[in-house]
Amino acid sequence: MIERAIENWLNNSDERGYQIPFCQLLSLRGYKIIHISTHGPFEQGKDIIAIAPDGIPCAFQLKTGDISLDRWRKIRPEIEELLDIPIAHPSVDKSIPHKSFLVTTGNLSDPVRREIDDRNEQRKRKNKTILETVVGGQLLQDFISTNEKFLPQDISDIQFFLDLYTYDGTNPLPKEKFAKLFSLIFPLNKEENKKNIIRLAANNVIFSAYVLSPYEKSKNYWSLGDGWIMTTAYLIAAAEKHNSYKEIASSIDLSLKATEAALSNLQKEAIESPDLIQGGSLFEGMIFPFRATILMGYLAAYRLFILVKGDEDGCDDRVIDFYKRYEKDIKLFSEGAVPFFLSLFWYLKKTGKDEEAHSILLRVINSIIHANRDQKVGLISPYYEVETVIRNYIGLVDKPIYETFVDNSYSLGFLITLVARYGLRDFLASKWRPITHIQLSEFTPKYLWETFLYRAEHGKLETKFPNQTQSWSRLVEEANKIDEKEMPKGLKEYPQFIVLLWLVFPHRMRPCFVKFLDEEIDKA
Amino acid sequence: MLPDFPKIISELNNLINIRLRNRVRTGDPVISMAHYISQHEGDQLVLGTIDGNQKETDYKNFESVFRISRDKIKSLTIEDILKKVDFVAEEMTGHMARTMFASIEQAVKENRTEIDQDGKPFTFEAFLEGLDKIWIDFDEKTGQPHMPSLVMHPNLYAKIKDKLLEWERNEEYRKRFDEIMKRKYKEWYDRESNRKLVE
Repeated sequence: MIERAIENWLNNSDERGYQIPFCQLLSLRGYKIIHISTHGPFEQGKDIIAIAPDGIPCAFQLKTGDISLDRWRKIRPEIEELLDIPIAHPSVDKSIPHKSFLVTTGNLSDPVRREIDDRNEQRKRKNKTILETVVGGQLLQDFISTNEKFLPQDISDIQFFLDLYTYDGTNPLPKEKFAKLFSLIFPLNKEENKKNIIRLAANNVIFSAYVLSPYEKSKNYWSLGDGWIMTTAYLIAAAEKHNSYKEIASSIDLSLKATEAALSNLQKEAIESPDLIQGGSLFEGMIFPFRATILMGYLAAYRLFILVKGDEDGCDDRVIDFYKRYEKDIKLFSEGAVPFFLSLFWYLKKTGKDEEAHSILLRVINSIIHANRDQKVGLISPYYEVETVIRNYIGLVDKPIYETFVDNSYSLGFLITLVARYGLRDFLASKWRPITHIQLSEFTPKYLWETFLYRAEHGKLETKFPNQTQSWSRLVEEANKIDEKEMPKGLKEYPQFIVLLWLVFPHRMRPCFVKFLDEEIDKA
Repeated sequence: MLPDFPKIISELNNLINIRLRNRVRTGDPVISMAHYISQHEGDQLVLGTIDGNQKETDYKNFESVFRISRDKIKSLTIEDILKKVDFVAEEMTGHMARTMFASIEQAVKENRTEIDQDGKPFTFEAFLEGLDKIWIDFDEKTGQPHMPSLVMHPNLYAKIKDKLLEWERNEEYRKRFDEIMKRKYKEWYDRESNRKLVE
């Protein structure tokens, strides 16, 4: 049944939809992926550039559906570029002629096949490289055989997969279900040999592409981004648990590439939208502040991701313009929104707007104090998804929330840490009294790899009140000390990823990680 | 399988669960005042207290069971089911309240703020002594005390409820109460003044 779902997925995918899984197939065969086109369908006719196991550079152009003679005539100029323009990439030796592949999810009509054969003969006579083809049936067989050994077997698991695969892609990502899918495909509670780990990680990437296809089709880049962030997080958890960073680096890189593509599209759509109105329902006013806040957070986090990764084009003035446009609309609707504001804080700092950055940080702290000490309700904890928060605000919750949030905060601890790191003593002194009435909560996973899971099975929830009389110098000292033992290797291997992880798992923000990221951003 | 309607049953189960949780939440005046923390992950809980201590907390199961014989199940009406659920809620609330008071008692003993009346009647002196041993917070704007709740057995309340009115009218008692509250206000003020950042 899953095989039929994979066939359905492949038949309905666009080029972008099967690009990452196809790269994963190549990677499993020993190809080293060096470039994936994320900006447009063609870059000199090359959607994917990879080095084959024998060291030959290869360029792939991806298409969907059948290629008739008419269509072939239209795409031929791109194919000529694919064949004849050398690969321009620092990792590719231009003196070695590259191989060219036309890949399609459908079939080539007979006249097209004959024309490709004829042209290949002519090219061979001229000592030129030829065009190789990969068509639908072959692709499908490759995807199925890759997954075969690890396909869910239990009928309830199959049903679960199909439910996710047919989910309405215009919705937020159902994170709990998505996390469960990973644990079905690649359970982390048992030991695996390195060979299996590589295949299981690859499977994770491919299955993510299947179940994220409804979001891809709906161009719901927010949920699509969340899905790839969760995939990356799970792969890092697996690498951390099995000490296999080297072995599954290519799967992690592919997942990060897919994340980046989704966030790039989200940024484009948000910036180009005249007013962020979606659909024009009568109830837009209720949803709008949430949408503006989420987008502000994701845009800032995406820029930070690029900056920490070391790319030169990290700063983008349009993101600051976006912030100015919607400054009055964004609001701290729950503690789950704190990462959105902290991303903005760091991005403003990185673009030299220290004063505005500090005012964001202080605004967040003031909001938490106000919600707890003046309004006496507190903010909904970071464990609740945005949809639940919205439902709670408008009285549409499926199940009542029994938890009380007053005088408790998961964020205040690391916000105080940041205030101390930036020397904002006067502000903190003026707020210390109300702060000491609010319990600070922190969850510490027992095993570092569980940091990257949606929910950690093992670990300690700890609450404590801040010291009533607190030494500022001690606070500053603590705020500048990073305990290496608390840091998973994954955060050091992929420091650019932390800021994205928090967007999806805001409950994973802890003072030790905030200090670490603050330093990484400073260095970027 | 015999004809069945599991979706309806599942929805009714959900409604019953919501009622049960609501009843447990509101069934006891002291329990209903408590803050609720949900632990969404992990297997260990360490709670901090206002005096800066932290203590690992055990998880406790609160459960109750009711049994219905096969021959009676057919004739159960919604009202019957709700009665059973409310009974379960009451049992669970009672269990929770007893556990909570046992924890309070343990903390009181550890902090040596226990007053043992040794079976003697509850007097105004005992009431004042109790007040004297606890922290009382005041409203920052109005200066009014956030008075603690006095929890007692209904039998004791029946015995002293008339006395409470007398105590309120007694000028001398009123004076002594005010003196304690003045002292409590000062203690609170000093405590609050200690909440500060220092060098």
